[in-house]
Amino acid sequence: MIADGHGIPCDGVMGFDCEERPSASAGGGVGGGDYFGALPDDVLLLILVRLPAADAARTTALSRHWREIYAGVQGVFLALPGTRARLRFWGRPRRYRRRPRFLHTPPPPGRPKRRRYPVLRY
Amino acid sequence: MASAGSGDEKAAAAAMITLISSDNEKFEVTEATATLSQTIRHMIEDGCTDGGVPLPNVTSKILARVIEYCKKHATAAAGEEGSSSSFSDAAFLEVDRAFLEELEEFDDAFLEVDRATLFDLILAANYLDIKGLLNLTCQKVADSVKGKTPEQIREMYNIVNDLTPEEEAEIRRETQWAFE
Repeated sequence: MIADGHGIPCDGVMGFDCEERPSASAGGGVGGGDYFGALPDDVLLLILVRLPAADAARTTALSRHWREIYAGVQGVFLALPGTRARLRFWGRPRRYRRRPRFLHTPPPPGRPKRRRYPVLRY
Repeated sequence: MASAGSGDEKAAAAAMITLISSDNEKFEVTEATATLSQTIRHMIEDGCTDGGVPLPNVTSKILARVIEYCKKHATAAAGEEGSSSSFSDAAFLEVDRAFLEELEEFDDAFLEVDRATLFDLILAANYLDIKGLLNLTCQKVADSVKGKTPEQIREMYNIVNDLTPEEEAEIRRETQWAFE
């Protein structure tokens, strides 16, 4: 139950994140120095994914540690949904859609061309 | 069978769990309230909650707030389960909507705390593994960061800038689009 290696008994600060960080050493956990310094990385990630893209990208300019956290999020962004999920969400890409009726070119006048059907011969 | 099930639920609801904060204050909560925390739920499943659950990482002040949240949301969860059988009933849906609005108002009021308490709540929610509370508090922090410049955020949360001026300039060049 030691907070960030200072020998201070925990005051709302968990002992499970034993990783020493320069940012956390500025104060005795929450209430003193860096507020984020007391939070484990997965919680920082939870905060980051709730930010719009531009705000999230701007956190890289906060400190070294935030730059590392953001590098973790980029991995998440790259996990794009599969084709099946994309199709369900966006529909088929335009080039596969049937041309709308008003763009349909009418058949040329005169005798309609005979369609050739495949004939099975035995 | 249905009556036996509800009897079990009642028995579970009646069972009390004692939570002990870091400063040795004891809190009696129902099992339904306590199981909102996955950590405590697992402890209950393992049957090691006799004589109280010591939470050496949570102060009594924070634990009291967390229990306040859990109580409110445990009744909400119970209400949802109860009304799911009469899902088509418009009157029940109305009641549900009113209750959800009340819950949202409660959450908003719950988050009206100072920054240090908010961060302690995040830590407690993370330690106790209370998904709803963790999402709620993280969203609050994310909202407070939204639209701010790095300087403003650093000042708000006392973040020490350990980047060299060159590194910072490079980052700003790389993420130019985010600063426009």
